[in-house]
Amino acid sequence: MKTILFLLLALVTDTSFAVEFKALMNAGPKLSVSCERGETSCIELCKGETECVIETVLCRDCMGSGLFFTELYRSLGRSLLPSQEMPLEKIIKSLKEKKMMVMDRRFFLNIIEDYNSFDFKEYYSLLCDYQDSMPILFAELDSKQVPDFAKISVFCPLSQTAKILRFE
Amino acid sequence: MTFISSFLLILLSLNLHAEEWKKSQLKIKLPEMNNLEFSNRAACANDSNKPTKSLFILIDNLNLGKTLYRFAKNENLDSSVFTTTGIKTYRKTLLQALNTITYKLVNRQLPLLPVNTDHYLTPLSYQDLSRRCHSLDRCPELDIYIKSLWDLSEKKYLNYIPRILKFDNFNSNLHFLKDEVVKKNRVGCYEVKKFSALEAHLYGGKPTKDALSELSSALINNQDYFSSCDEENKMPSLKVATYQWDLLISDDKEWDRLGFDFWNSLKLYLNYLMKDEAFLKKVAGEYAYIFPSVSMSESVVLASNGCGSISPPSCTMDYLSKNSMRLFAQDEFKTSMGEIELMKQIPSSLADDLLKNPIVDVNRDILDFKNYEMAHQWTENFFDNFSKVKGFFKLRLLNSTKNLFYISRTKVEHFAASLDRDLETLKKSPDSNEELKRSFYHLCAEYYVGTHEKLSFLKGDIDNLSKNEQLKDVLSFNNDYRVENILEYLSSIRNEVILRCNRLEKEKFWENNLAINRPDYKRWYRQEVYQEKPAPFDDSDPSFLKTSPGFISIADHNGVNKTELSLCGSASECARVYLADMFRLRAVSNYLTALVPNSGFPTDANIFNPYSERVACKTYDPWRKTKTSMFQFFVDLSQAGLSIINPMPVYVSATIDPKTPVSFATLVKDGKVFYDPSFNKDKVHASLMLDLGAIAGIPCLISISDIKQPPVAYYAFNGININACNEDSKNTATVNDSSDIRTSKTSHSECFTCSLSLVGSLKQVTTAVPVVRPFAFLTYALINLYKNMSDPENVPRRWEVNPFFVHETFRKYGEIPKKCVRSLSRGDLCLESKCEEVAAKSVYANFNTYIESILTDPFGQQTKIKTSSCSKPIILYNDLSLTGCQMRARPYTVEDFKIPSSCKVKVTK
Repeated sequence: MKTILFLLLALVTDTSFAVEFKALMNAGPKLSVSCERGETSCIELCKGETECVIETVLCRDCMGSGLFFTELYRSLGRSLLPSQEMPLEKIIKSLKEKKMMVMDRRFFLNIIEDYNSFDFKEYYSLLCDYQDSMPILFAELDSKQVPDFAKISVFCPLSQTAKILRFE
Repeated sequence: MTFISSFLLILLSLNLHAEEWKKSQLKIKLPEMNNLEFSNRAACANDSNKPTKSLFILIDNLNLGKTLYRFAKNENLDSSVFTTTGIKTYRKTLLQALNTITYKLVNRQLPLLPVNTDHYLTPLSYQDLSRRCHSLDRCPELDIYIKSLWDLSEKKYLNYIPRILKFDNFNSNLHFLKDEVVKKNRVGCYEVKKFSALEAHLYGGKPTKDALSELSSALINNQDYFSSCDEENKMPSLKVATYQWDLLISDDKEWDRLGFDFWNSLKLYLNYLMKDEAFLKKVAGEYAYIFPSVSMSESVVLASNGCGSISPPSCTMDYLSKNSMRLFAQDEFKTSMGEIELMKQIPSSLADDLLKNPIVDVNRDILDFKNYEMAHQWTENFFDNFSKVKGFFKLRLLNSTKNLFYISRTKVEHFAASLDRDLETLKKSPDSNEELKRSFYHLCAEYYVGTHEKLSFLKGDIDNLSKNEQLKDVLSFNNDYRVENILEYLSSIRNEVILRCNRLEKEKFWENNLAINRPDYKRWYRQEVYQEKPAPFDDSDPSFLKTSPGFISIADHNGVNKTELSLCGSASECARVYLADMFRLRAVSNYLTALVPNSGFPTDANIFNPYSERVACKTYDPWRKTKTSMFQFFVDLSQAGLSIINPMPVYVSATIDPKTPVSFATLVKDGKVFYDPSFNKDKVHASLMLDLGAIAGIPCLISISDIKQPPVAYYAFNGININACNEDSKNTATVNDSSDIRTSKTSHSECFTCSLSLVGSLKQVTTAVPVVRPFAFLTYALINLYKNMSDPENVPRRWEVNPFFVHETFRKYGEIPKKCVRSLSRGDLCLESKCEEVAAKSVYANFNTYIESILTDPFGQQTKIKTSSCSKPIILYNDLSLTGCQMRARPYTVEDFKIPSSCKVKVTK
């Protein structure tokens, strides 16, 4: 991989997530992207800039305790674990095509688990090495904006790598 | 002259004393509410094939509320205000979307998207999309198609039809609603606060004086019972909302033709519009971003208000599954969960249930409205039960598919080798391996029962699951995993298990003492073999040898460390878990559409009419009693004619399938009728067909009756008589109607009868003198017809009540007089005279006002009507003589009234 990308999020910390939302309520959650070494695809995503904030999408018809979120949150960090690496270009491509849903620990569509509970925090942080407290989940959506279980990956800000989640 | 003047003076004084009607407190224009359609069982069953005109919209906002609350907390917003406003906005958005779509459909700005896409005039692109997309809610191409139609409807054209025809080859006669099918293009929308006699058509068959009085009382005190959707009211419940949504249909025939297409279109456009950014931004403002994530299939239920349907009834798993949700509204749901099929691990199929219970209650408050003081309490209970069952089924689905997935990753050879190793250990020292021994015993017992007797239906049901798109999503946690894998793997495991179990049987291995505990069997086995009642919401099973690491383990983080969780301890235990989970997966398959919904469409169900699926699955025929009664009548009449000649020498073959409607003409055509060879066949046939006349073509349903004896080889015709069984009344049971079926546990259903026996009943008549016979038969025919047609439940009967007319009748008299029950039950108004009724209806048709009093002069020349809008009466001059009133079919127009200049009465547009 020639380019190194940095994805910096607006949603990573509790406070910044909130501030971003408040400012841009009608457009929904956003993702801050920083292309540290001038990677082409990243700059294309940022429309010629090295840093930008992009709009992300939400899944459709998925609110509540549907199959996707039920299975995701009860397995996350337990049997749903990081496996092989996910190239960051692929994430950038899906973000460009508006097919990527971005979820942080306090993702508001999660009404299955209490994000403040000790267990959930623990399981969530285990998605990344080094006890990274701010993993970001990327779920690729199909053409009907429905998430696909086989296409969920986790981005670890500290290591700046992403891995596909698999049931072990 | 003096006499005339005094008479006029009396009239004048009468005018001065015209009795005042009671004041109205109605805030809603009642003419915008549909007539209440009352019906008995057969009529209700029959009406299930017609599109409904009225809906209950039930909304569950619990998930939305939780989401908005989290969102607000994350954003440091006032969570209470943000959540409450969000829920209110969602309800408003949904109702507005429904109204916008309806407006465009009735104004022909949008075409109807037909339910039946097999018609040769179905628009080609739409037909192509319906065929290519496995299910319409998961079809992105359809979204694009609907978006194009919607964009077209947003433009300004005088006539949209030519543009729509150009877009796809729609048909102007089939795919557009005609003018005024929906009265004034309006819908009535009410938020239901309390259930009342406005739902009386769901409570009881025929409108009674009491029901009508209750209805009038509910209308007079309407603010306690309902309010207009336009009113800004405090929400009675944040969790749920209950609306009644009426389409005011003025052309029933046209509505019956296109109504199902209307509802289908409404759902398709609604799915689009509730995700449309422009519409949401306009109506939902800051919530526009969140609303597309709301799953309408989870949170919105459209329930037809009455006997009609939203989707055409069909005997399919989808339809049966959706209608099964009426169970959740019933009070007995919570008390009898142990009896409910869907809690069982091997539930009988939904179709079996219909056969077991062909006759159920309808129009008897079957959903227990009366047990709840407030409407929202009923809706909360409904969604509460619904959510609990949905949650249980989701977990059942997820747990079973995950277990099946993990177990099937183990190679069958590895399984077999492990079974052999365990068996070897067991045989060496059976006494010291009691648990392993019992595990093997249960394994063999469960596989003998589970795979031999059950596999046939299991395979069929699992095959159905493999076509389910939703399940594909669930299984997508592994790219290579398919439903087919699950079945193939079971087959392989079964072979290995049965081979070893047969060997143990042969070796008489189990003959040594072995303590078997019933609770050690898997739950499905105990329910199936020991008829154990299911424990509500509990699928747990006993598990053997669950040591760690087990034979099959799954990854698990317990806080800090990555560990392995034992799924099943040994090969025998894993094989048992696999079979148990197969049954659990199969149990979900029956109810997948209703209980594990995952689409953009609201769930629609005919929850008030349990006959919709009974008619669709042909376990109840609403016209059966009528048809057989008429058939009997014609037969009796023919017999009256035939009684002067000799009985016909005709026989009919017995090879008729049960449940198949057969007419005499069909029997002749199919060569199942034989003639005595000593007669001329053609002459006998011609004579018989002439005598039978029209009845030859009337179908007669061959039903099954309880009899131990095998059926006789042929049916003898004696006169006009079809009777499958001998005349021994102990053995025969002529089935006239499903309600007459008597089940007998000891006998088998083997004998067919067609309920057209004249032999027994007419024996005495046939011995009478020839001249008397025809008259006797005629009298008998008429009496019989009257008796049959008086059946209160099985001959369709309908009544119609116009709520506004009930309200006005009450205002006039201060009560509902007994004399008015009949005319009100015909949907009519009931005042002092026909002339008053014509005058009142003319006022309602032309003016937006309430009547305070009416006085017609005895000569019928003029009627003075005092209204709430004027101090002086408005006068109707015209032919209001008694004959004129009786003859008048249409109301008078505005021009026929003399309106005082001081009067500012509003004219209805």
